Order: sequence, then C-alpha cells, then structure tokens
Amino acid sequence: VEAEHERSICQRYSNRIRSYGLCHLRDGAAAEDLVQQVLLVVLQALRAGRVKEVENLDTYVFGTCRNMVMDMRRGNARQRRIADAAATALPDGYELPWALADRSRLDGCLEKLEARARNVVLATFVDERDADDVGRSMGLSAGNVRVIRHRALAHLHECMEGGLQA
Amino acid sequence: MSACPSYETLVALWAGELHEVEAAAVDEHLFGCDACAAATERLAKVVGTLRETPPFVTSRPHRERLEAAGTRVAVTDVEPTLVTRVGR
Repeated sequence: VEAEHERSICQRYSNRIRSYGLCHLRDGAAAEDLVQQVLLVVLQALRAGRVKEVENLDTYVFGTCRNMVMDMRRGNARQRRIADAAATALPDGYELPWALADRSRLDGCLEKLEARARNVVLATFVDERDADDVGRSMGLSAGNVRVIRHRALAHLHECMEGGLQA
Repeated sequence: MSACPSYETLVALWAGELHEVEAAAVDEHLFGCDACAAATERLAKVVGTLRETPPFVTSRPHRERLEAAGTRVAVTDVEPTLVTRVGR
C-alpha cells in the first residue's frame, strides 16, 4: 500500500516538476534531473512523517523545486549526489512518463502560422528574446508581441492536437 | 488557493517575463491546480520541443548560433527574409 501511495505521488507531481524545470532551467536533461531529485526529497519527507496533508504536500513540492532550481543554477554539487541516489529510492515500477511533441508535426504547425506570428514564437522561445526586443525588431509594441505570442501558441496547441490540418 | 492564471499569463511565465514574485505565485498555483497543471504541461510539450531540437524553420540569429556550434544548415530564401530552413 505504501509503495502504491508513493507511485501515485510520483505520478501526480512528476510532470509538474518537469514543467517547472523546463520553464526555469530551459534544459530538458536538467529538468529530468530535477524530477528525480525533488521526488526523492519528497518521498524521504513523507517516510519521515514531515508532510501529511495533501495541500501541504503541494506547497512542499513547490518549495523543494524552487530551492533545488536555485541550487542547480549555482551548480551545487550536492544535487548531483542526490540524483545519483534517486534511482534506488524511487518506488519500484515507477517510470518517468513524458515525451516531447512530435517534431515534424510541430514544424508543420509552425509553417501554418502567419510569418509574423511564427517569427514572434521563434524569437521568444528559441532566441529567448523578450517582448520589447522582439517588438523593436519587428516594428510592433511589446503589448502587440504578447498578444500575437499567446494567440500563436494557442493555435499551435490546437494544430498539435489535431484541430487543424498540420 | 489563488485564482487560476490566464493563458496569457502562463505564456508570459514561459517567456520569462513575469516579475519574480508574480512568477512564484503562479508556479505555486500550478502545483495545486490540476487544470492549470495540465495547461502548463501542454505548453511544456510545445515550448520544450522548440527549445530541445533545431526547428525546421528558424530565425537568422538562431541559425548563426547553430552554425557556430558546428551544425550543418541548409538555407532556403523564403519570405520574410528572417526565416531560414535548418537541415538535420
């Protein structure tokens, strides 16, 4: 029962931790390291009875993520040692569940965007430029860039999920 | 729990444009809200893929970074002139 409970916790949080890592570390391998490190700390805390309520667990996982990302940005070697131990501490039968999007489909969806929207998406998430910078180079206000950006991403989601022909 | 952030706010979070305090509040919400966690996981899939592998269509500065890192790049002139194609 305990192992099953731990697996359900891993399933609840693994994608959230990975999303947090991808968002703030901007590196897929580092995000996957973060998942293992955070899950290990959380399971250890549960086994020691330091976290009990589900609502507290949400806050505890988030706080652990935030602290570890700060440590990882500082290149703290302690995190690597925790990661090395994680493989033996996570529950048996638990597998990290994610996958990236279908690259060729995403390319097809990108090509379906208007050129201006495509440029905004690529400038933001590939070149990592902020809305002010993108706006200056494209003759748009930063506000316009933000509107084009979130509409373009919504369009990409719709396209990726089959709502539009890629 | 705080109110669900708008989709525009989630995109701004992923673009790194939220103030640290606002970003932390949104992040904390995402750990406790199933619907928002699912929305950000969909964003993670698209943005993560964009960041992980060279896109078929990319910008000139990104193309130049790929070339500097030794990636072979096939360039096709298309409109607008900022857009190029990357060969893998």
